[in-house]
Amino acid sequence: MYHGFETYDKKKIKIDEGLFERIGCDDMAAFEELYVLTERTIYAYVLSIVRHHQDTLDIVSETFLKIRSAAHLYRPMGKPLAWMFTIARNLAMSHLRSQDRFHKDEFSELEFEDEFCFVSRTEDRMILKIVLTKLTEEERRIVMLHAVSGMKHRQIAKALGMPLSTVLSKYKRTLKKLQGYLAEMEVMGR
Amino acid sequence: MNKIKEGLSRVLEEAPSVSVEELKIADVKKMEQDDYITRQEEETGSYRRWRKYAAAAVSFCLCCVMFFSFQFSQRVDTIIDFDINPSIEIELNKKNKVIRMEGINAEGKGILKNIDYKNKDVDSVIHRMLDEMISQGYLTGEKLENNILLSVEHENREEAEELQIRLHSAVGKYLEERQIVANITDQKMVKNKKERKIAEKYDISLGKLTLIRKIMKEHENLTVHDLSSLSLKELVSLLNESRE
Repeated sequence: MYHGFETYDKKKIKIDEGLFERIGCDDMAAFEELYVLTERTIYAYVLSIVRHHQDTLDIVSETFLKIRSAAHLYRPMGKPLAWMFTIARNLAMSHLRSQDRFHKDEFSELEFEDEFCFVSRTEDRMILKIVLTKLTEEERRIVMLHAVSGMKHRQIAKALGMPLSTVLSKYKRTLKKLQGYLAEMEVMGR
Repeated sequence: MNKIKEGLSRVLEEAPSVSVEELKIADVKKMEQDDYITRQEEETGSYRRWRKYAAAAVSFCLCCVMFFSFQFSQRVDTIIDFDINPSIEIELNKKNKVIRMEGINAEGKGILKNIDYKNKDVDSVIHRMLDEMISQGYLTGEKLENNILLSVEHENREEAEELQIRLHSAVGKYLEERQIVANITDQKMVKNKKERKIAEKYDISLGKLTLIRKIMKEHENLTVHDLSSLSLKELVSLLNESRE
């Protein structure tokens, strides 16, 4: 089901809502277009909820299959990414419920190293670990979505249904928080 | 700050992804209706309300723009009096579109019966009017001389002159193409309520009264009453006589 690293195009996401109608008619070229445009964003979004790579891949996969089965029911409202996030979130929450991981904040060192063995740089692994273990779900969503695919704060606010000012202030606060943790870890590392 | 963003960005790029080919060939059953997972969220009340207000504000602005642009398009910028025997007054807006036409006398009213002029270009309306005058026999190739008086009223002297010359030439060319010889006199007329009332009293156009005033300057013994009953040909001859 899974394959290795793919170069990701960092262009601003612009989804043509007509893609859903085409996908609803089993147009696989349209499906692939949607996938190429949004897969990394959905990955980042789901990872910010479930925090485990393998679980994230399963949910991303389920999300796209769900889109294939429900695309013909999509009503254009100008927020296609928001609909995709709704599906991904509902699937992620359902997954967490079934795994009984809802309130389990612990993330063992071994588990983390095993899950994210694909991260090549130690420094990047450190950042990811802080993001996944020290931030709240909302903070994770905002920083990860901003880091992936050049999503602008305005686009994140629209897709998450949050006011732009809230997204901006939360992003700033979260980055400061992250910097604090990073400095702390670097000192401990020395 | 950038270090964190770049680091996270690299992690997300490096993460293995789901194979799209497998997703494409997977057996998927189409849903008949949305379930709790795919249900699209409706807009919240406050957002919907905000959109209603915004739509109302936009509609109001649009109405204002349309109202003022309509008012502007209906504002009279130029008046042309066209006299043969039928006398017709044409009002133009700034874009030289005809916004109103009026037959000054019974013959003029008869010409306008068959002319659709609203918001049409002045040249095309004048061509249409000439056609009607030809078909009703006011302009014919048999007459040795057809007389036409073109009077233009415009606030800007230069623009009035420009329009006089342009219309003079357009009318002349149009009639020439139909083998009709015409003596066209063009002149500038000035907006004057008192003069307009006098013209109305004698059932003539302001353009014709302007011409009469010019003759009266040369022939002090003549009155508007004397001259208003003369034909255009006679008035033009009188004026030319006095200038010779």
